Amino acid sequence: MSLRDLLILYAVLGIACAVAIYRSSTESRPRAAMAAALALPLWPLWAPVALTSSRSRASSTWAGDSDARSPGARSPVSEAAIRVEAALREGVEACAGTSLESLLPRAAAARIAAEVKRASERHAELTAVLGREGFDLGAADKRVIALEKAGSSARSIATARLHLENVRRLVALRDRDARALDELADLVQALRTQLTLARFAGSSVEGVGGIVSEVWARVEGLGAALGSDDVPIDDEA
Amino acid sequence: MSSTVLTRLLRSPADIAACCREDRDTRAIALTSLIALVLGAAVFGGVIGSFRGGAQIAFAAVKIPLALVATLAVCAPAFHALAAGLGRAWPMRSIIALVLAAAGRSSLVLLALSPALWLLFDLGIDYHAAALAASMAYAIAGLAAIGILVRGLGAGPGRALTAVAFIGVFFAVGGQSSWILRPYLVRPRTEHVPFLRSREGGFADALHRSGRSAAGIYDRASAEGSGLRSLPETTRDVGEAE
Repeated sequence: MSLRDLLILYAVLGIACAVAIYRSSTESRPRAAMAAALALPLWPLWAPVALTSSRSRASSTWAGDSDARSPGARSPVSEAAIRVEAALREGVEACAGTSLESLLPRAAAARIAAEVKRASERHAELTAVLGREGFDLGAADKRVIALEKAGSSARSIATARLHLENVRRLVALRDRDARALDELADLVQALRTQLTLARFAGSSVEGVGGIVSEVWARVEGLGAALGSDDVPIDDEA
Repeated sequence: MSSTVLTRLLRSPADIAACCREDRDTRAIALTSLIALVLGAAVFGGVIGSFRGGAQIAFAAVKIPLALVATLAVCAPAFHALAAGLGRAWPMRSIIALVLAAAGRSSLVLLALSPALWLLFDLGIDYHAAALAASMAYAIAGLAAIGILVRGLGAGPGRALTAVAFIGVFFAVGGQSSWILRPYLVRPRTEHVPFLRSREGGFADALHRSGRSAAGIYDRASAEGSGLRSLPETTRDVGEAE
């Protein structure tokens, strides 16, 4: 095999990798095109990463969660985020090049994925915070009871109650994020199924439109909740 | 390209290594490292080429990143297999992200050392001192890369063996890639600089020949056989440059 043959083979494989990366990407079109273009000259290094990176975990998912650092361990929330991303990718692929494409364009899928990632990261941060010493709900509760039994000063008891209330609110935020992400994952999976069904069975666009609207409402709710809760707890209390 | 990853690559190599090992954020790490690798090596190559100047600046700026990327592309599957065989059956993306992070960090070190090397060239050091200075820069950059690589392999049995195996494969492949893409550092008096030298055996042959020469054994017959003796003066100048 001559150098020329080798270069042609390299270029053909590069083009194949670029197409695969572009088609499987859930990012916006320009970003997907950039990722695909990078694969043309650098496919031996870039393609294995770009094509399988959706299986990689988000950076802060495991922050502070030492038990979960063992290989293969995943939290329900990160599982939900992975389900959302996979379902979005399949949904985009299912409606690519059809009349349904406008219902779930690549850019919209990228936005949903970004919101989900943000919520997942926030959940991981909250989990990490609540795993620290001094953020244990049971211990905070016991502390209040102990101070009351010991007949401590009203100021001490009030401070302990404030701490307990703050920890309760953090736990509630974490649990709410987990629920919201889990429900969103189910909904996006249903959307993917419906898009696939609509593509092959020719269902009406209106039927798909309903579930798309529901997904958007949940995503907007997720984003709004994240924005409003970015205020420090101490300032709110 | 993520500035966060770039900062972590420089300031928290242990964190980056842990991310690669635990398969977190591998895409961002790989992408940022790849860009850092190409840019850093290109600037360093440009400085190396500036020893002669002219077209050699562009040639070296293209060839040094090319040699590095080609080496990693060939080595990555071998690294994956070696790691799996020595008890670290990680995904391919983790291995690639780890070696790219190591190479990216070393390229950033080369980038940082480039101004100092340029200053030395500007002060008029001779060819051998320039080659030594460039080699020192490579050695420092290599240490920075090994730092990430060894941390990335994590604790556990076979860590040292895996690291040695990685380094051995990298040197063998990297040596040959670099040998094919010579010359990089060229004497200023060289009139015509080729993008690539004509083939004169492989990296292993050159090591063997240099080893014998260092021991005072000069293989005249083999040198004549390889065509070295018949090379014109200008080309031989280039030939001395590696």
